[in-house]
Amino acid sequence: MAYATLRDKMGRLPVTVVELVLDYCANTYSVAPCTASGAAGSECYNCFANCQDTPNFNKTTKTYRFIDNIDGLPAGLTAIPALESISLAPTKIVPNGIGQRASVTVTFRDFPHHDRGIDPYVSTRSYDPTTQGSFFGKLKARNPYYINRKLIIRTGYIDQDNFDTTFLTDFQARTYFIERFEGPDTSGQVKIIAKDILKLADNDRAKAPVVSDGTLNSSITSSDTTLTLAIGYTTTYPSSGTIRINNEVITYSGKSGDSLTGLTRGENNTTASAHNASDSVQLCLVYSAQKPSDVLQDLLTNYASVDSSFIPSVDWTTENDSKLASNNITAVITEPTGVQDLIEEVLKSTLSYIWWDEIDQEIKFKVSFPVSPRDSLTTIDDNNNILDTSVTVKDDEKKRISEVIVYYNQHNPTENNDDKVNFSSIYAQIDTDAESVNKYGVKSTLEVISRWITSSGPAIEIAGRSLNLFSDTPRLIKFKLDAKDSDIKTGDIITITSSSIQDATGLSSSTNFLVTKRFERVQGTTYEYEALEFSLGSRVAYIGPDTLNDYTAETDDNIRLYGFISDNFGFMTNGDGGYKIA
Amino acid sequence: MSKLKIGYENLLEYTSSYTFSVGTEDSSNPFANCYDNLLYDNMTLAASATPYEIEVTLDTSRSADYISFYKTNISAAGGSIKLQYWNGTAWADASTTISPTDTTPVLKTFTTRSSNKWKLIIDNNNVEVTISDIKFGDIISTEFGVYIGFSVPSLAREVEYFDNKSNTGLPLGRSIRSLGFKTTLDIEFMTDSYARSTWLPFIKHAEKYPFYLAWNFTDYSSEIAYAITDGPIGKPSQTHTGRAMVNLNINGFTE
Repeated sequence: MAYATLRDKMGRLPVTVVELVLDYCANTYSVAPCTASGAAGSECYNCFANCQDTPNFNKTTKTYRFIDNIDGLPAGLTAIPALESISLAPTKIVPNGIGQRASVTVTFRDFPHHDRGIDPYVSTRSYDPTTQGSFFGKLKARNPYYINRKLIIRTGYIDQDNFDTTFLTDFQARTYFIERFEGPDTSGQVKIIAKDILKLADNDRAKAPVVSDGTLNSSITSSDTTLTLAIGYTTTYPSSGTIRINNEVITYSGKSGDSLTGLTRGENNTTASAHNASDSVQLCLVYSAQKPSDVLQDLLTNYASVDSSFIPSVDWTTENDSKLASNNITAVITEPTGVQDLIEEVLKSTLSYIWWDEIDQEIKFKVSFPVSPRDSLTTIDDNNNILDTSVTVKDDEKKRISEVIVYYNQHNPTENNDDKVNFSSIYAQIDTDAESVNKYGVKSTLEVISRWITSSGPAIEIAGRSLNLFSDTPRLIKFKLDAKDSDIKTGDIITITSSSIQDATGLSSSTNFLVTKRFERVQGTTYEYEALEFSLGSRVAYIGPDTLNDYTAETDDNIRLYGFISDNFGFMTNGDGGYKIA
Repeated sequence: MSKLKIGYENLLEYTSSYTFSVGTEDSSNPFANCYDNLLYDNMTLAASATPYEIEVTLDTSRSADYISFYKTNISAAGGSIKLQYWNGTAWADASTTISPTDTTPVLKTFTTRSSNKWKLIIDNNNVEVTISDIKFGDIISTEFGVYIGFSVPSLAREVEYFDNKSNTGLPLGRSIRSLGFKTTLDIEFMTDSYARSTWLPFIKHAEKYPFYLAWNFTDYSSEIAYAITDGPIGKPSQTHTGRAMVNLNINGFTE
């Protein structure tokens, strides 16, 4: 029976399985192509750390499966009941950044093990594996290179009417990457900590551009058009490109032997100057009028070593082209910079966000953009979805924006990227109405200092979009849902109708929210959510055909889809709020 | 003797050698996995049109009058298990052919047979099957049956419930966490000789390993529990001259 069918039944039987997917050699010891020839009992464990013929190590994976000790599991499921607990810190997204990365701590109980099914040569060993050592002690020793290998948490339901050893394939899998191993300690406890793939972009792990190891072989004057690199370092540099020496940015058009030729000095508002032998020659990372989605993808795959299979590039391009078509970005990055910082800069400059979707096993990319009237959103309400007494709502005043100031057109890329005086242009958009004494009465300023924006168009666009989304104080809502509604995931935009969100008449109002966090509170049963109000201050609609009736005579669908002219005070004739031409 | 029966002895633990006379052993999920008292591993038998035959030679001739098994999907395959013994000249049936119809624990008795060579014949009906636990040996009984107050394992379910209802009180979902059963076996008026000849060997086994329990094998022969002691094992205490009583807390699975 399908996962969703079992999940939606009353009396469902949730079960969680944890899998460690570690490296394993597909070869058999001493059988070609493996050339190892040790005596019986001294074989490897088919892991790289103890491989005796590393050139022929044939990397595949082996899955170690764990479960908690419950009744009714299907026969044939080889899952060790050593699982004690799972502690999850889920992904939390923000509308203009990388957010909080997901992490999970899985606690196991260590135990003696016979090694059958684990050590392929257990029958030849001279020791008794059941009495020597423990399962996790040996697993860790045999697999010291576990970092970034997968840890998968599979949540599903036992199908009592259809026991099937393949039932795991229908479970919902959440994938993380192992960060570290703790234990086994003296109490026999083992913890494995895993995080989402975006940890690879952490500033201490990934830099862009990478550090160049080349230095000047001899000094150059401020007007030389050729430079010579110290011998042996030329492979760092492509046939043409941009370099930085001290505080000067230089482009070159050719490479000959150890020399870079065709130098154009003092680029990007830097000053051409003399440089000494042994000065570092840093290759710069240059993006020129590129799609933000492409830049993000380049940073993640080429500088943070994120496997491209985790990035749905077609979806990213579609999202980019439909919402950021005029927001191509340009930057010259002259020194190695943390990839996380660079990604944050791009996301802030485009009011977009990325996050690891552990269920789809891919990095999602979304632009913070008004919800289209044509979008059909999932709706939840007090009666059918929201769990008893689970709702809390608070105004997130810190997110309200009344004015946006964008500093763009970076003057000199070798100087401080956060220094406003290093930017040639400023664009400011102020919602004076919101700042008036009859409304909020105070300013709330969003400053965007961006080396990636080089023209006014994108600056105006993100300022307008930010004000549209957050000119009114957005509400932050927390609530719980039953597993039957757990298809709602982080990143979804949903409509919530709850008595905790009322209009002036006291009716529950339907409001759009961006789900920023989803957390499995009770295994396979209860999910906890956080969501940020994601509505425009005014109604957004398409220009309608001239066959439309008057507002009050039109269908609900057309009222939602098309714009109608309001009165001078911004209201429709029946008192509804008016539309806004943005 | 009572209707309560306990199958804990396993002659497979005295195996000195074995061979798959028909069929091939799965090296990753070998024969040893089905008598290591662990339910999380299993012996796997690949699909085969011909029944597997596993011949086991014991350290010496030993007797058996029951066979039990659990955590197998052989019922779904429509397969069967049979135990044979070597009678000195030929293989002869010890048990009947057992064709389970569900996945609950199975315990069957047969006429006592003694041999140092036994054979398991497993027909998987040409479908891959797994078996986690097989035991055969001498079954034991208590001197008296169960007493008033005993909770029958199959009825003594340990279940946790997790309910969700909506903000307006509508039931939205219920999850169940099944933890098997939990009950207490009370043994009263145990004779001195029984305590020494039967109870003590059983307890020495039960301190470490699970066992099969048929609470009333005469009237409810299909109500078999795969049980293990739960917490400290009670000490027999003298209640009358030459008689003792003991309580044994057990938990386990019946489904």
